Amino acid sequence: MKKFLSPCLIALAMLTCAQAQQEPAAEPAPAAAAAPKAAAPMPSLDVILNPEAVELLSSLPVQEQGRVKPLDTLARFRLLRFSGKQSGIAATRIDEESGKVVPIDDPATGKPLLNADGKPCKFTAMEWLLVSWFRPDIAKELNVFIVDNSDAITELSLPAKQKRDRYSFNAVQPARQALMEKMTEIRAIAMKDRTPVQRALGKLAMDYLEYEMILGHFDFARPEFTQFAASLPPEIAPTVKDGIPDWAAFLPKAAEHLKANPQLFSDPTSVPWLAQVVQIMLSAQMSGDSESFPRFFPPPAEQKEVWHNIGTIMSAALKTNTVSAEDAAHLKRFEDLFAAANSGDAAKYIAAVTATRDDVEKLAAARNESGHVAMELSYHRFDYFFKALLCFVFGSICLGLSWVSPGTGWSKVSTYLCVAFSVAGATLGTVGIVIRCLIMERPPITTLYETIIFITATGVILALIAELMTKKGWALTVASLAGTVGMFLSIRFMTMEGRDTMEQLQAVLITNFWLATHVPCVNLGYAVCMVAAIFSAIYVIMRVSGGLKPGDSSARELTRLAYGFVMAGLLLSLVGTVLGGIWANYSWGRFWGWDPKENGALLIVLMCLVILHARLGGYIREAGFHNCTIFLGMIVAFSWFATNQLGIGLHSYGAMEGAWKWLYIFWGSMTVLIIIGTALSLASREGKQSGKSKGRAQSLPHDAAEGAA
Amino acid sequence: MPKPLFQPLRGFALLCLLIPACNRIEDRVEITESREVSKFAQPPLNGATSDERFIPALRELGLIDKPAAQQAPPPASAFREFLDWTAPEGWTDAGEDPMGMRMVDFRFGPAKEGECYISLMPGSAGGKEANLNRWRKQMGQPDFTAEEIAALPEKPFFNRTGTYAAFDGEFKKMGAAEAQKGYRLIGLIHSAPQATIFVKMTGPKDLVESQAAAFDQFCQSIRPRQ
Amino acid sequence: MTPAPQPKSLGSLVLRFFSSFGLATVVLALLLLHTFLGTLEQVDHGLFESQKKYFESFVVWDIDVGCCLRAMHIPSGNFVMPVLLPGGFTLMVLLAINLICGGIMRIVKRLNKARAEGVNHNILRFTGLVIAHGSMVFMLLAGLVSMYWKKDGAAMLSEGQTTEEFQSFHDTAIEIQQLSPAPAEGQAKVWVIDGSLFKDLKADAQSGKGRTFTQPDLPFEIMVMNYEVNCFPRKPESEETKRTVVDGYYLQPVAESPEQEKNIDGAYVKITHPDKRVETGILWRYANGPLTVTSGDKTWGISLGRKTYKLPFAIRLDDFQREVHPGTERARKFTSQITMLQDGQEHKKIITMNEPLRSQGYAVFQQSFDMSQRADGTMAERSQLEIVQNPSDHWPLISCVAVGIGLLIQMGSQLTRFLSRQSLPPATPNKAVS
Repeated sequence: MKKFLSPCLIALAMLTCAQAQQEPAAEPAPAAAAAPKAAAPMPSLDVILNPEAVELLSSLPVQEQGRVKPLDTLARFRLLRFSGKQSGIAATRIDEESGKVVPIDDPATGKPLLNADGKPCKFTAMEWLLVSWFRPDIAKELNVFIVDNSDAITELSLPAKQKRDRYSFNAVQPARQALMEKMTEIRAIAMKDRTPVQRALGKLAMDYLEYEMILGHFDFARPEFTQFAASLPPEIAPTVKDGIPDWAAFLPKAAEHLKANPQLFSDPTSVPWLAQVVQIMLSAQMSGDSESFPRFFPPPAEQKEVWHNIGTIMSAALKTNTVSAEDAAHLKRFEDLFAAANSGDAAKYIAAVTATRDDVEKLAAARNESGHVAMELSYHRFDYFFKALLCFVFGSICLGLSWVSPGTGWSKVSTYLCVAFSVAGATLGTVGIVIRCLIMERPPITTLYETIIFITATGVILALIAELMTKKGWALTVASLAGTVGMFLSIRFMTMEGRDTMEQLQAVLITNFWLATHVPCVNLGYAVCMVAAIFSAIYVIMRVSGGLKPGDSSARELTRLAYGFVMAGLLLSLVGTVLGGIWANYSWGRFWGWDPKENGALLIVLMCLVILHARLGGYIREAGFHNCTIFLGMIVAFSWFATNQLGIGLHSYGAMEGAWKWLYIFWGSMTVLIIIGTALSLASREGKQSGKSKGRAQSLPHDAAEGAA
Repeated sequence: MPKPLFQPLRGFALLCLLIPACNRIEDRVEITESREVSKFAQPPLNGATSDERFIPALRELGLIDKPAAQQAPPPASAFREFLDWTAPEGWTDAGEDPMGMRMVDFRFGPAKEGECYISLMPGSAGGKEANLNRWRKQMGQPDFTAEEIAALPEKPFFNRTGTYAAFDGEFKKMGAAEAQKGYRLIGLIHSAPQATIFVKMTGPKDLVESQAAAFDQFCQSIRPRQ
Repeated sequence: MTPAPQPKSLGSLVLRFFSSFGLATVVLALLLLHTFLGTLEQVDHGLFESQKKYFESFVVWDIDVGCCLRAMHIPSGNFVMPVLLPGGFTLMVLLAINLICGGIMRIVKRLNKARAEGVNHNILRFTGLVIAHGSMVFMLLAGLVSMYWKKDGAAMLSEGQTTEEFQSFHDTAIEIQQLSPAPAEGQAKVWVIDGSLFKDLKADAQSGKGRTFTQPDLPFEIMVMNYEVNCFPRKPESEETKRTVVDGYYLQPVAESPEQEKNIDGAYVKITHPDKRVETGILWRYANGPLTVTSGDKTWGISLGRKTYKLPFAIRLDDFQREVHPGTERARKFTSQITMLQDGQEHKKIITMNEPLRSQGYAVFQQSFDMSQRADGTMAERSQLEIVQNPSDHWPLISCVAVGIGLLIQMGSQLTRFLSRQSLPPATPNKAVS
């Protein structure tokens, strides 16, 4: 993030500065300055959002964050970061007079923007990206920036909407200077010390700058140089036609000019046309962080595996004084694409898109770097985890319905439906995970996000297996509950992170053997312990609501289930933790480094052992055991999320804002359950004083009682 | 009936008390450990003076200034190459601001507690008033009134003039938990539609007052790099 | 469990205490607490310090509550709570005793009893538990062995450079070496004063206190004083300074860094020659050369630094390669191509992430790299290799496999019984469990 901010801000700040300085100079001919923008061609949305073309461009391979992915993925996560959602950006605004939602007007025609059905347009991520590229005037009207705290907007002296609402580029535009200024201020404050407003402002500033670049991605093909016709050096002027440079010829000449005038290097912004080149170059890179550049063009086979885009081609050309034949072809490709989009001829546009995509695919295939574009595209489109969430929600509803009239045929049907939905949800989750593995060619868990989907899916499956064995309905409740909460959490987490969930790994982690053993083992341990904790939470809730009496068969059933899961959790966590130690020992020579994440796993093992031995020793009984298991759940939450938020150690990946709030909500509710449970156990102890010797080991599983004897 | 955990705990406390204290080492010890010198090892410097032994590492650690000849060229920041200036005596350059906010950043005073830096922002950066009042806020002071601002002196600056402000207060550094009392701020702002340039000096009152002349001289020296 | 109370011998009482579930529960719970606190305190105090305080200690004297709360994002001031708790080391020893006494002995005893009574018990279950407990003891033992006998350190090599030594990560030592006349090759010897012998001589603890080190082969005695964990030599700004100034420098202590690796230690030494001549000097870990002491026609160098260990072979770095994920700074692979030199033979080897070189009880890992500027201004990459010698290297693996097998056996037998009971008609609880 920091890396992103610095160069981006400085470069843009300098550019605006230079432009502002330059504008007064152009004052004698104000019309000339305004003219090029108005004259820029404005293709209709029907053409640029032609379904066939969108489809083709969705599957255009692009290299970003070290990975080849479909352009669709890139668009999705850019939009997710800006707006908090992956699609469904409506081209609407609130009418000031009537307060109604009305479609935005097409700035080119002045007419409301409607789709073929006469309704306001709603864009998918890919469509939004294309609108931003080819119709920035419309894109600037779209409400894409989510602001979590409207005080941030007020701070910019802009009219605020709801507490959490979306704003368009044009809505923020008037406060651009104030925003940049705020950003410089905020950046001096450490991340953790920032107030919610500062965080919202920081995010808005970064998103704004990045969106500005996306909007300007095709500026290189727009007549941006009309106003510089007179000021261009004579040797460069012939390479610009109608305000659009012939870049393959222009860049080497510009590079030579720079070399001949080295003072320009120190301050390229002092010369307006040069400032324009730099701005176009930055926009064509589409990000302030080189790792996030969308790179469209695979280099020839013998070159390094870093792909290029228009911006990197331009910066390389300015350094080397030449534009290679391949790069010239790439420039031509995107120029043609832009021209075709603006031609208003859908067939021409589709042909250009097809040509570009085929060329890129061929080049990528020649390097054996095609990725799994088609698979990834369908993975994101199918949205496995959202569908799994729906299944679990329906399952939970069915389960709730089955409780309405227990014992009837209605209840039976509802239960079966719940089982069916849970199985469907688990299957969807599993398939989703498997597809992710296939795309990344990697075992299932490499990021915090992936732990959530893995733990949820396995937790549900294990609970369903337990249900199969017990058929009492308890485990089914756990399955629906865990599935719903887990899948919801996964979606929420992805939104909060706002970046591609399929990430490339750091060197030390790239070892499929350990990623396939230690990591799933530990995470299964988390899943199993969490399931145990949910059983115990159900126990306490049922006790309070009077649905359970201590020591009755249902209570013992629940206890046995929870106990079985704690034991399984012990095995998995212990083996997983030790395997992690062995990995560390074989990979970097130390078995145990007291790293927070390692300690977290150890905490779980120790808690399981404490429960086991306290039980064997007779220090805890039914209610006490469930209290301990709920506490185990709290420890799992600590190990799972909190250890990553401490900001220290090897595993400090996945740190994010807002995680602590959720953790404290979870811990708080679990603590309430423990307090209730303790009260219950104290109460029951009073009542049981008389039957002391007989009832002591009453509800313990067989061997536990035996061991204690 | 759950068993009390008290019994084992009592045993435990006893055990803790029994843990012996560490052994003491004698005041005279014979060296018994030795090792062979590797044939690949670099022979150590013989007869190096204290300066020769310490200065290279101290320099590396940034604990002493590098000699002029060895001083690395200033980092190629776009800002730094944009302007030129003459640093007053006794001011040390704090180097590139990692946040990128301060173009040139100086420290002065016995414990280097005084700061003076130039920052440049695109556009009017909210205007002169907003920025002056931002400074007021940083020093825990109420905003200037319009009349007060109008009454502020102008000083020649950057081929034009800049608004000069000087006031005392409790300085709260960005991100710092507590304000420092008895501080003084001197600042000069030149605000134009294209860009706004600030020079700001903060530090303990006495120190800042003693450097006020140096501040003026420094502001005078700031010019666009030729 | 509830036989008629009868007088017991002290021995059986002690055994009962050490084998009790209560002790196991308390020890495990305390270990849990220590692990939790030790994790949180790392945020302010660093790994090394909290590891020492909670995990490698005999007693824990206080808890930095303020730090723990801050680590959990709860705003709080500074509050250190004095406590008296057994330290991690004590707990692990107790756990081992408990495992041996309680776990294994009890199970074995019960097994014998069951046999004697002819009760039909599932032997597998006990086997599982015995294996699990036994292997836990073994794992603790592995930890103990590595705590005391593991040597680890690093060697930084530029391409073409050879070494047969490595520097400890944490251990400090003062070394005394004859510089001139240079001894013949193979006879050069360095006298070593281990850090444990002078690290207690901190200026604040025993002001002015020193310790004298002697060696018959050395023509002088060395007194080490005022050891500082983190310091740097500084020129006094005024004439008057309370500190000892030697050759224009004194050692300026600085606050200790939580990251142990960042501390630069130093100390004063006082050299007493046989003719009662006394000279003082400053030792500093980052010094560019040793303190030179002349005695007669010989000179000696005294230096303070990380302890040096010798490898049974030499390593020459032939090439270092660094790969990143395309278009990013994210590392994909570091590889050192090295040559192992031993007894005049050369072996080409490759060390990369997750694939160390193992030979003669030593393991050489690719740790990291750094870039440094050469004299001609070009950048040179240096590869940092981590070198570990750990006698209990493979014990955890054996133990892990055994624990896994033990617990699986245990759980398997439980699951079988659980399932078999499922199929039975519901029995009265007491019958089923007692």
